[in-house]
Amino acid sequence: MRTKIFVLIILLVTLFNPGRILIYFFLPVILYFMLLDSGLFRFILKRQFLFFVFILLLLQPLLTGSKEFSIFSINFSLDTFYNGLLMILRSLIIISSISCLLINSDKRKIQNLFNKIGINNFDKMFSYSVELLPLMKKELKKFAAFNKKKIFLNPIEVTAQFIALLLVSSKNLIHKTRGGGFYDE
Amino acid sequence: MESNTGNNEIAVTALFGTLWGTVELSLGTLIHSLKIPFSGTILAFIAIIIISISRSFINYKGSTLAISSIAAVLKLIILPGFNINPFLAIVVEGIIGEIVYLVLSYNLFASITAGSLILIYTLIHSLIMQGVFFGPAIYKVYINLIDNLGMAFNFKYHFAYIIIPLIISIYMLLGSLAGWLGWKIAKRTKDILEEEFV
Repeated sequence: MRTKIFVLIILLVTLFNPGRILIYFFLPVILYFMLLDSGLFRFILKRQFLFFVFILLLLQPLLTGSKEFSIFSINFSLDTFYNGLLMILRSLIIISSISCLLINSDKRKIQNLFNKIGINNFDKMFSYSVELLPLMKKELKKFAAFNKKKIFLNPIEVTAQFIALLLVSSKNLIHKTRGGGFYDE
Repeated sequence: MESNTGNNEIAVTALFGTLWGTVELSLGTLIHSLKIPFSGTILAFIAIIIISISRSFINYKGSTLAISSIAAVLKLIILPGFNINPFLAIVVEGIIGEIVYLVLSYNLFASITAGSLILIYTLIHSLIMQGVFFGPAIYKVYINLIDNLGMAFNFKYHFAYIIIPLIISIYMLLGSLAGWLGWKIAKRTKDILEEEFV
């Protein structure tokens, strides 16, 4: 619990602090997260994150800002590079702290949340869907396999037939809850 | 809601929620693993169709929010780890659909409006998350980069002012198409069911 509160404070401070303070704040926070769970930083190898690193640290300094710095006769803006670096540091802290908070969260609590916000029959609906899920997966697979070409030629008709089939079988689901079998007609 | 919702409506709500959840689990996982671009847009397109169809069969207050909640929780519980991003996106898509259908009630115009708003949201969703992760300065970076691209094509004015509305219009058009498709499919499904029982 104490860790959660501490991580939450780190997250809020990073979200609302002026960018340049991050430079001093960054190292101890990252060390702390590494001690908690080194797996929190797996996202830095993801293509999406590397794309942002490329834009913020390479492309942006080359294209925008006053180019006061030169290396190998390539001019780039040091100020823009520095801003990009701060943004990357900010994202490192924010993404890892959100991951840290979520890893320690209970998924069932979120499920209960929907009951609290006013979807009164949520538990009943959800138990139906858990029962329906294997059937749905099977039907969807069959549907995709049988209608590979047809779906592009006449998507409305093919999908309508599938939905009609599902709606008819959903009536059997109610029947089942009243004591009958799922496929009883 | 409990008093107004019958057993049949609960089952149909569960059915559409499960359908959306299954699409997210199977197709979503496949698209992400194949690293197909615009995966969020593809999934949102299908979600709009499901929302539009479902509203035609279960038109009670809160039905769209209920199916989105089921799909979101299914995805959250079944997939390993705790990925809040898709969870949040599904719930917000449901909220947008619910508001539109509550205000406009179920018709073709409402389906098209809901579709375009939901698809615009998917565009904004990633931008909002990027703003949270990298800070609001990321938007300035985008505008500068787009303007620089315009300069490369000898375009004198702010290129971003043309590109951004163009992207939004494309998303609105795609969303409208999904809404229309959902509405048409729902109509045809009703015809098929009637034919079957007559």
